[in-house]
Parts: sequence; structure tokens; C-alpha cells
Amino acid sequence: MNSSEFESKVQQGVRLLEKHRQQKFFSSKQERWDQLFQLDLEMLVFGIFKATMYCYKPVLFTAAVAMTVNRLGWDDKPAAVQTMAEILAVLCQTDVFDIYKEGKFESLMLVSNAKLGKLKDHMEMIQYMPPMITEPLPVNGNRDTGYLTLQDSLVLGGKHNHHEGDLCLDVLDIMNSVCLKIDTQFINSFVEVPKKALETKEAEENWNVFKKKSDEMYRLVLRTGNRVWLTHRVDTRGRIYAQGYHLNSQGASYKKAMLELAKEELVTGI
Amino acid sequence: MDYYTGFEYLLIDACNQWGGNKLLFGERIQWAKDNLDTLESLVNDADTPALYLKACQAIRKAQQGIPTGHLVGMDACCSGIQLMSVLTGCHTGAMSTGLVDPNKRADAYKECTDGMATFLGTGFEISRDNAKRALMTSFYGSTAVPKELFGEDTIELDAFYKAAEATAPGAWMLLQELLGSWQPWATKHEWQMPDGFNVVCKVMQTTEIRVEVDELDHASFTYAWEENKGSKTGLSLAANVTHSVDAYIARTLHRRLNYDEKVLAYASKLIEIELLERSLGVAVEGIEDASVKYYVDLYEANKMADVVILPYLTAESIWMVSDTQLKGLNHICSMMEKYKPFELISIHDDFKCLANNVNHLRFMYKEVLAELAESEVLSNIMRTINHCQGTYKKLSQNLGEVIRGSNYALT
Repeated sequence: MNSSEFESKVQQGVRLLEKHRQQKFFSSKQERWDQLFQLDLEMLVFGIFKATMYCYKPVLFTAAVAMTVNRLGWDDKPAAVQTMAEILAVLCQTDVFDIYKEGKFESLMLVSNAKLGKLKDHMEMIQYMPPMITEPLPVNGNRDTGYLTLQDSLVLGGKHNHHEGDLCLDVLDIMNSVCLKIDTQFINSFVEVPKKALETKEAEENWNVFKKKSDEMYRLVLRTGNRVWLTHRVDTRGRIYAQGYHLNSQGASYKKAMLELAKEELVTGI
Repeated sequence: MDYYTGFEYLLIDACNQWGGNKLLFGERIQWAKDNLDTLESLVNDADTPALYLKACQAIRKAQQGIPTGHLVGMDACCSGIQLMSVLTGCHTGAMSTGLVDPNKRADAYKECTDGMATFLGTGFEISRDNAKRALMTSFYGSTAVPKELFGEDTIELDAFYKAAEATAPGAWMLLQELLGSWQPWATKHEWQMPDGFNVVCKVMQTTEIRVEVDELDHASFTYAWEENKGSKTGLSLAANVTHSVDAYIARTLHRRLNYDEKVLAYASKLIEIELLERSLGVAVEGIEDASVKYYVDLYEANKMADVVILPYLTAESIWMVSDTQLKGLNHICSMMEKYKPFELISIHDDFKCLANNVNHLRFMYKEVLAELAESEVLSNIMRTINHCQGTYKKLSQNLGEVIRGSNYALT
């Protein structure tokens, strides 16, 4: 879909919503739809279409509602959820996405029809931030991550947990400054296996993707000099968590075993 | 405390990963020595094969004189119960978690099952793993796991609770007090740790609605979301307070072990001079400093000296620090100066460093626990949560000294 086709789909979506509103609704629904029309509909439809493009693999309809509901900006969550579900149902007529059920007792699903081409390949490359290959910047505020370009809350668990109180940033600096490396002898002698048996095809596929991406990350780290720094964040109680999906000193046994300090020492007492 | 060489810690590490972490350190070393030539052949029998093989490879490098960055890990012994026992000055709980008898590798989970067997007589059996699940979760206020394992209103369940309380009476008492400290309908519970960390635990509740969509042929779905809403009762304070303390210990260890040599040397000198001048009666007042005041106030509330203040101390501001805080800091600085700074990795209550540094890690961990036992950290937390004044009445006042003589606080 090129930009003019996308623009015309947005216009079609707006018209469908306007037409839908002309129906006779029961009073509370009418109130919700009246409130909806106080928003910039074009922006809303544009945002919804953009969000659903990430659903190039089918997702639960509930998840699609969750992805889009905050675009309404309403405090009344039940009303917002109900209305967004209705909006998605109406916008489905544009064929930008489909809503379907595999069977009578199956869950409602949503899948995007957008032809993403190379964009899809790029989207599949989206991943958790890799470790740093230069020493992290000092963290001077509660949204400094240590990364050169990334700002985000240092408090884990969602935006409602963020605060500007004392997070003992000095310790995050100490922990961020520890340089690690991959133990190549170890990764060449032990095969990374899942923690538990993979009982479904989907679990097996997910593991294979994770393994492939992990191997690619290890290769990148080794090619860039095999020196990495993990950044850290805290939970609300102050517990500290190393950040990283493919490389993490707090991960599964294999992930722990493959990382060691870059600063080596001769062991005493042989 | 018993000290070991770097190589011996590699042997301990291999034995730990193989599954021998309930043995005494000497026995672990002996196990690895007995199997030294064939360690790699045991990889498939190991509890954690990846970490076991890694330990074996580190041993081989050490034998060949090759430097290594291998991290040796040391876990706190039954961390939650250990810390709750320290905070309440409970010798029995401290004994169950490696803080009293230097010649015993304590195991609170086994102690609890042995206690149950005493109440129930012969024929009673439960695996250590199940006992661990039941004990860990119940000390954080959960009743679900003990019920799942022992049934409802059974003599086994009753015996479990009696044994849990007997294993760590101070921790059990603290659990009840923390459950009772829940502030009905408060949207959050907040307290501050001795180094200033602001713990802010919002009360989150899941709301669920059923949505029917006319436009989708009346198809319906369930939608759930989390909301910051108060509740009349709640269980999370026990785990949250305990975890805030283990997080504080981890931060303290990072500061004390991986310190900035220049900052320590400067602050340490300042403290020494100030103490000397005060003893001679020639100390003078300087200027007010907001950062120093912040940490002085935290000390006054917690009675726990913390090196977090060191980078802020200057010749002009040190007069604001009390004699007792200065003496506490002086003691800590002298312990830090005895050993070079080294890098540490932590996973909450699991600490890792190069093998050569493990002695100092173990030493400092038990020192921090001893200082916590002697502090008023729990009083300050309880005062803040309950919006009241007063001091927490501990079960004893001498636990700190006992902890300083222990061997298995980390194991």
C-alpha cells in the first residue's frame, strides 16, 4: 500500500465511522459515540491503522484493542474498551485488517492485510536493545539509561511505577561500568538448550528464532572486540536487573555461564 | 571466618554446580579434589550442567596458569528468612540460615521438614524442594502453596506452620506484623532505605470486564487491566519489605567492594582528621551542605552508617556528621581499605566475583548483615509504613557479634 492508497483508506475509515454514528444507538452508546466525534477522527483512524500494521501475524482481538485503546485518551476505561472494539469492527470494512474466528469456540483474532514488503523484514529485526559495546554514560537522572541515545524510565514495571525520587543512581553507574566478555571456549563446547521441553510447535519455533537471534548477537559481539557492558534498571523495591535478552548475566544458566569479566586474573593457590 | 584460596573457590564452585552446595566448604573442596582428573565426565550428572562445565574449564585454565574472568557465585542462605531474622535479632532464625554456627551449613528448609517430622512422628515425608516452596512462600504471606502441599485443615498443615515458626520465630513474628501493617485503601506504600532509595509500591488491582460487540455479530471477549487502586487488605508488604532490604544489601556491597579508590582515600582521611580534632576539642563548624544533611538525616533515622555519603564529604561539611556516624564510617572505610576494589555481579541475593576475591565478598556480606542487626532499619521502615513513632523491639541485641563469627551466610 503506497501513501496515497493509505490516505484514501484513512478517509474511507472516517466516512465509515461517520455513517455508523448515524444509526440509532441506545443512550449510553450514543453518548460514547458523540464523545468520539469530539476527537480528530482522521488522526485517530491513521493511528489505529498504523498500530494494526504490527499485526502482520494474527493477534488476539483483545490484544489489538489493548494496542489501540489509549488513542482515545479517555479516563473511563470500560467505555474506552467498548468503543475501541466497536471502532475496530467498523474499520474492518476498509480491509486494512481482518477480524475473524477460526471456529465457534475460538477467540476473536485480528490480522493486518497491509503488504509490508521489505518493511516486514525490518520489523522482524526489531529486538530488545543489545548490550553496549562502549562504556555506558553515567546516569544522571531517573530516565537516563546509560545508552547514548535512549531515554526511558529506570523503574521497571510500566509507566505508573516511574517516579523522580532517589533511585541510588550511583550503584547503577558502578554496575553499568563492569565490562564483560563472552567465553568463547564455553560457547564452543556447550550447546544452548531450552530450560524445559518444547511441547508445542509454536514453542519450538519461538526457541529456534531466539537461538538464531542469540547466535547472531554473539557473533556481532565477537566481531566488535568481545567487550560488552550491560545496563541496569531497578524495580519498585530497589532490586536491580541487568538489561538484555540475548546476553544477560541474570538469565538462564547458559546465559550466565557464557559471560565473564573482561578483566581477567590468574587464580591464586594452585 | 574460614578463608580459602582462589583455586579452592573454583573447586567449591564446581561442587556447587554439580549439586554439592549443602556440604561444608571443606567437603566441597575435597569432593572436587577427589574427582579432579575426571571432573568433565560428570557434566551430565550436574544440577546445572552449563555452569558446572564452565567451572571445570576455569579450573583447567587455572591449572595451566591462564588468567580467567570466570565468576564464582555465592548465594545467601535462605535469603528471605535470613534477612527477616537479622532485622528482628532472632538467634534461632539466624542459626537456621547460616549466621550462627560457623561449622554448620545450615538449611532452613530441611530444618522445617525435620520439625514437621517431630510433630507428626515417623512415616512423614516431604521433598526438600516442596518444603522450600512452602516455606519461602509462607514467609512472604502466601497460604496457597502450603495448602496445596499439605491440604486444608490437616494435621500436616498445622505441623508445617508450627515447624515454620519454630525454624525462624523472629521472621514469623515479623511476617504477621508486616501483614498487619497493610494500610487499608492506601494507593501505595512507601519507605526509604538507609542509602536514600525511595521504595514506592503502588497497590495494583486487576479489573476485568466482559465486552460484547454488536458490530461483530454480538461476539464477546474479556478485557483485563491493572489499576492503581487501594484495597482493604493485602499480602505484598512482607515480600516487598524483605526484597527492599536484600536490594539495599546488594547496593551496599557494590559500593563497598567496587569502590572508587580516590573517593575512599580522601573521605577516609577527612573522617580520621575530624575524629582526631574532635577528640582534641579543636574541631570547628563549617558550612551547611544539603547532600550531607540528607545522608545525616538518613543515618539518624536508621542508625546504619553508609558509605553512600563519602563522595559528598568535604573539609567544610564534615562537621555536620555526628560522632557515632563518623565512627561507623571510619570502621567501614578501614575494612574497605584492607582490600583492593573489585568488580561484582549480583542477582539479588546471589553474588559473583573472581575466585581470588570471594573471601572479601563473604567477609563484607556478613559484616553488612551484622551492621543491619545492630541498626534501626526495621524500626524506620515500620514507622514510615505505619505512620507512627517508636522503636521495633528486637528479640536480642547481640546478634551482630554472632554473625561476624559465621561462615555460611553466603554459601
